[in-house]
Amino acid sequence: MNFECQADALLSLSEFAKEDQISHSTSPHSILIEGPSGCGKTYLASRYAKLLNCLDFVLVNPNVKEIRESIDTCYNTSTRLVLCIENLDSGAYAASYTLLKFLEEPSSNVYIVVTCRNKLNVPATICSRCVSISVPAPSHRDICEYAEIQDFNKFHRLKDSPIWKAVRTLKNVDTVLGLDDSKLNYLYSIRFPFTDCVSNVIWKLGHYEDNSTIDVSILLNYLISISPDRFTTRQLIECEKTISSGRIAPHAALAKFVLECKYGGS
Amino acid sequence: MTIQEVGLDIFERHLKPFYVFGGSEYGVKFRYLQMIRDQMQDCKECDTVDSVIQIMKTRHLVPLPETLYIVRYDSSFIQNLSEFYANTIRNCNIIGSIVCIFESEKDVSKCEKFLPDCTVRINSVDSKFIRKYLHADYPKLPDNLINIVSDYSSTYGQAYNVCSAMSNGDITELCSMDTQEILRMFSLEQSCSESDLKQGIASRNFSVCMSIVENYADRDSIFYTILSVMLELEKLILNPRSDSSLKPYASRWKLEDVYNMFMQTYEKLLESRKYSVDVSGAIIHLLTLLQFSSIPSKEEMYV
Repeated sequence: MNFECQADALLSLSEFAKEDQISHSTSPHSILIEGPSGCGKTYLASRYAKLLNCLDFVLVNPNVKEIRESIDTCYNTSTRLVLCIENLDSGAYAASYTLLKFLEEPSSNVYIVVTCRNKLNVPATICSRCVSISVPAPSHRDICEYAEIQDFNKFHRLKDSPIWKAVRTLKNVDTVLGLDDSKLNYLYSIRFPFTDCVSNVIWKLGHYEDNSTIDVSILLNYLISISPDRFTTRQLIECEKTISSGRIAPHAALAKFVLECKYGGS
Repeated sequence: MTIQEVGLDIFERHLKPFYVFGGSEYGVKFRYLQMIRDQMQDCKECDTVDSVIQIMKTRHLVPLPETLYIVRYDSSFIQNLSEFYANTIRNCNIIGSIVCIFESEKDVSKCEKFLPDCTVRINSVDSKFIRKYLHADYPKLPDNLINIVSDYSSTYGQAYNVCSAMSNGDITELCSMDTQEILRMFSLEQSCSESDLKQGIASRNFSVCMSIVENYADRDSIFYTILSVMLELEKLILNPRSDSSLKPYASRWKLEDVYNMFMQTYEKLLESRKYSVDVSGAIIHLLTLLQFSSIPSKEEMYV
């Protein structure tokens, strides 16, 4: 699959891989891939592993324990591997600093790929030790192309429906195509204004009728698409920004949004 | 398997060859180990279960005595544990008993899966059992002291240690002290719970909130506690028939107060996540707002 949004990044990664074949010592050992959520950063990291002919691709969450364990594994292994730390900017600063020493003195068989949503939230010491690649948000064409590959019939059934306006990233495509009719109808039943108490509204916004959780990104994008006014849209965008920063619990950010809709705006 | 079944095995002198004692209540594990040890000729601490199995498989000129083998936190046992290994243990002729000690929930669950007939979870014990054990362990300690220790200790292990310290001290002087003094002396005072804090916030009682916050274990979670109290109050104001422990305090709040308090707390929480902020100072600022008859908005605060 080759998407417009990933084309430049893929070209850069191919060049790095070619450089590595020529001279291992001059090719970059650590790469920072920056891009919005759901644009395919982890997918690009796995493609990079294939370009380097690395059999092992290790995915690590941005917490101190997992990073430390994966670094220990790297020191004890001699096979070539790509170590991918996902969304480093959503973890605590301690996670970044755990990685720092390994970035300064990496093992020769290990290629490090760090992904993040916003490079400004990654410590400068990490950024300075990595080669940066930016991936823009996927275009409408990329999204449609990806959706057609995943489920041609369902995509064409949903593309003109209200829920498709909530699809902004490749990850959203997977989520929406995975929803059954009852879940889609539940989402369509969500309406402004909110009349119930805030805690009940948050529960309804967070859960389908079978108590499974609603994807927050899809929910917020859908609410933006049906937002009745600018104030509500602004609150939703702020809520989305806060949740994606990962520093405040999503239910607290949602509660704030619902409270503002009900009692703010005056 | 339950702890009562282990007790029955000990009472009937019909011990199994293999036990796994899991859970967090170390004091009760220690007590049962003592009881099993009393029935054996010898007791040995071993590093791994494998080493004990090897001893059993080796031929001895002199027969082995009945021995209690204690193996603590053997991670290799957990790693190798499977249906095959469990059968190996069951078919091994063990002279005496092997008792493995674990605490981690993951390890105990794995043992329960492959050795359900040998694994016993020993978590928190009811205060009446703690009292019973302490009476047996320290028959000379007066009942009132034992009652205080059993009521306020979180585990049997803690209660055992406190009674041990008491029995070495001047019992007459201890009996003359009041309960609070005894609790303070042996650090048995209970830390304040989230529900105490919620009630303090909802009742808008600044001094109660401050005294709770001083002893509160997790200061960072206080922001979320305030937010959740505001949501509960909003629900009570809109639905007065809702069931909640904060119902008596709902009449002290208006929707505007709830909104302003929520927003101020949210702002402080956001600041604490972005910048290095004095969390204690921020919490005191928020609790101070409770004293206003109408909670001011952020804009009103900084006009």
